[in-house]
Amino acid sequence: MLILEGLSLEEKLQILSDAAKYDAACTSSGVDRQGARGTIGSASACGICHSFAADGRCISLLKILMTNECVFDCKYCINRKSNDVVRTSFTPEEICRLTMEFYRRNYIEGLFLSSGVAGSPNATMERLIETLYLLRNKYRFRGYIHVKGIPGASPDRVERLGFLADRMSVNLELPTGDSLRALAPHKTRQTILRPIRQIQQGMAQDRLLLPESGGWSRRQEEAFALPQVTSMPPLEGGLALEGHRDREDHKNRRIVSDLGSGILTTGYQLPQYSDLRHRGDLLASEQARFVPAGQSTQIIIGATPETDYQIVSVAEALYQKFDLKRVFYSAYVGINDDSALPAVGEKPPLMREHRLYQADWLLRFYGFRASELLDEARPNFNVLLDPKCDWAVRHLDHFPVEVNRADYYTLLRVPGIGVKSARRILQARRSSSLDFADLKKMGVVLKRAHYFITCKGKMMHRIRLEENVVTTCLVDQNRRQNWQWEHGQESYRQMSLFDDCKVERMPTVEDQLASVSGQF
Amino acid sequence: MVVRENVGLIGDRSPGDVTVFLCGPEPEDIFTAVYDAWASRLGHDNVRLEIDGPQRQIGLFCQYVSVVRDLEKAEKVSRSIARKISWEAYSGVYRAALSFEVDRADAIYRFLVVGFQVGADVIHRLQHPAVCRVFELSRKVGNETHLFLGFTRFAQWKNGVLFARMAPKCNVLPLVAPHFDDRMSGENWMIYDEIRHKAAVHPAGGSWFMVDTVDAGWEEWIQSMDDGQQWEDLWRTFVDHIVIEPRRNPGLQRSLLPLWYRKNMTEHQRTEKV
Repeated sequence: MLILEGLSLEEKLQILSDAAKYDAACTSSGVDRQGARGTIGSASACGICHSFAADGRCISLLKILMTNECVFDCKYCINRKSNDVVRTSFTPEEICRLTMEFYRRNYIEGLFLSSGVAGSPNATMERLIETLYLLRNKYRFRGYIHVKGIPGASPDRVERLGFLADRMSVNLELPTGDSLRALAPHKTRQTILRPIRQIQQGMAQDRLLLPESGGWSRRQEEAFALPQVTSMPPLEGGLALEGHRDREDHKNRRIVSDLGSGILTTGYQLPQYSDLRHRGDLLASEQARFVPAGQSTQIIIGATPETDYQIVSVAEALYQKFDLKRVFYSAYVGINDDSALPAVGEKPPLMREHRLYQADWLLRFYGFRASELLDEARPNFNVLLDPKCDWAVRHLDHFPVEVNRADYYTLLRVPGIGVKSARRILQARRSSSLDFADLKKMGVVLKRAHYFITCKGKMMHRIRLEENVVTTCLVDQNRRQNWQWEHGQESYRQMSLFDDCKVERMPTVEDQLASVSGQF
Repeated sequence: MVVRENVGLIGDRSPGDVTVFLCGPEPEDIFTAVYDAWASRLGHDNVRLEIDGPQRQIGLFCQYVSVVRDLEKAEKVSRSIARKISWEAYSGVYRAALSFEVDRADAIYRFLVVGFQVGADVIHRLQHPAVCRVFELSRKVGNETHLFLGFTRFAQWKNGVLFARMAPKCNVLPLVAPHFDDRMSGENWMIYDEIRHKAAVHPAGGSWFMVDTVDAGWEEWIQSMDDGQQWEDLWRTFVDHIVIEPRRNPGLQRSLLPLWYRKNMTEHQRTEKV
């Protein structure tokens, strides 16, 4: 391992931002915190994007590694032990100065600090804690901090870090335990899931102790605000499907129980909780919160043979059982030459990643279940149609729905109607009935929605509501958009009759004579 | 005070004259015009509000009335919107007044006609064209404000003052400044709107205020204060190195960060400075 001493701050920033960029998460959302005298910074629950990089990803946080030295040898990672790359590390002081100077100039919304495992997980965690403590207390930084938990670190370190950060994340990396064993020999399901479970329990206790909230978990709160029951009739009807469904459930349980193995025993209680509440504190008058913006995780897509159905089921289990805020999907980018991985230079599966994010939104905000979107028989998403359209054309018996009467959850299931439009429709139709023109102005994407809705009993166009007809129309509309997802990163040029004929050698005098005299 | 000029042609059509109230571009001007138009008792269908400016078109069969800004009238209007309709309606109207669209003054007037009839429920009646228009305008202003919370870039002057320059389409400075007031209460900072020639100034530990900067020396003064670029260069380094090359997608970048936003952003200013 080549460790360079005496690098300038700029060179370190080059190396350590390069090393950190494969992490997908860059959100600054989830917590609202006003500024305060004597400190700098605030946080906004909706998150603020400060720039967009040339790959179209948002830059919201200063995303860096503390060090890219690593004792782990995860095959997919650029910083793995066996890679011959220049290694360096920031001092806590350097990270603080970078963060503060960037923040004052409004370049960033906060810090995203991750790290390679230098020495041992616990030693690395200590350095992360030291850095954040300095930033919060010496530099009085009140902005957003997202920090990575290191798999295998001890519970009390996870906890101390949690009081200093807004969001913590521990990457699940790969959807199943088998893949993890194959590609990340130093990580196990248990070392990853234990801190996730611990953070979840810490957050639940934190809420319990807050005077303003009655100790509800986030799930429970949401369940109260938006009941999970939909008015949809049962989705798979008929006894003929019964056996099939059982098998599906069984398979699903297997994936999910794989996720749950060995975590139920790690029920971790925060020790001396009341003392700890002040440990990471910013201002004496204010109580520190434990990971107030929730936790997230990341799954690498396309490095291992899992199906979309398995991935979505794992995500669903993470949302339900671990109370996660976000699951990020990262299309695998071939950086390491390894027989266990796709070849270097292979294109990252961006379309697949896009479909998984669409499905993720359906799980979190639209009341869908993973088993509705996909099943054993169709384990992967349709490349041509987004998951919601795909679901809708397979369930045309639920449609068309009457916009002026349908309830919130039924509206949410219509392709082209999102959370905002559904709410606006509910509000607006209280005063008078709605027409297609009204819907259009409200932001409903009629291009997709008009196949599935009626206004005052009428559809917008005369369309036969048959699966083939609707699918053909929808696919045709989406073609351009889909092409852009797959090919957006390629450069292309206008086709021209004269530039494209691949004339490699100039015509000779004989050729010209031949063409003039008409000989070929 | 009130200037009336009759530019309408009286032909064979009956003079169903519309009286047009011409006002300035700021929210205070628009609210004053609303007051005057309402108080003129000409009937809602017989009045129209327009923003005075070079892009204005002179219509036929109209009488024009110039409105002079009157803070007392403007305050009366804003107070009664907040009290008699709702606070949400007021914030929607205020944001719509900050839009760049020329029809914003009349849209607000039409909205208020409905608003004073139906009360707080008005903001939900999106199927009403007047309500929908104000909703559209205020949404546009709100979205642009949100983008400028992220896209505004400060540079540090020799004396430690943080200075930002912006050229927004909508008049978002009054909505952007409170965010930085909260976030950076301990800093001396200034945000300058180079299109409308005004600046929000915030002294460390104090509260922010607006300054008119129409006078000529201002631009040169700003230029003279510029300082070194150590952190600017570090930031450009970071932005360059965070890109994952196999995912490069300038089209997506352009749709999320359109070119016109980039003119005052540090990371996109390298060609001039290098």
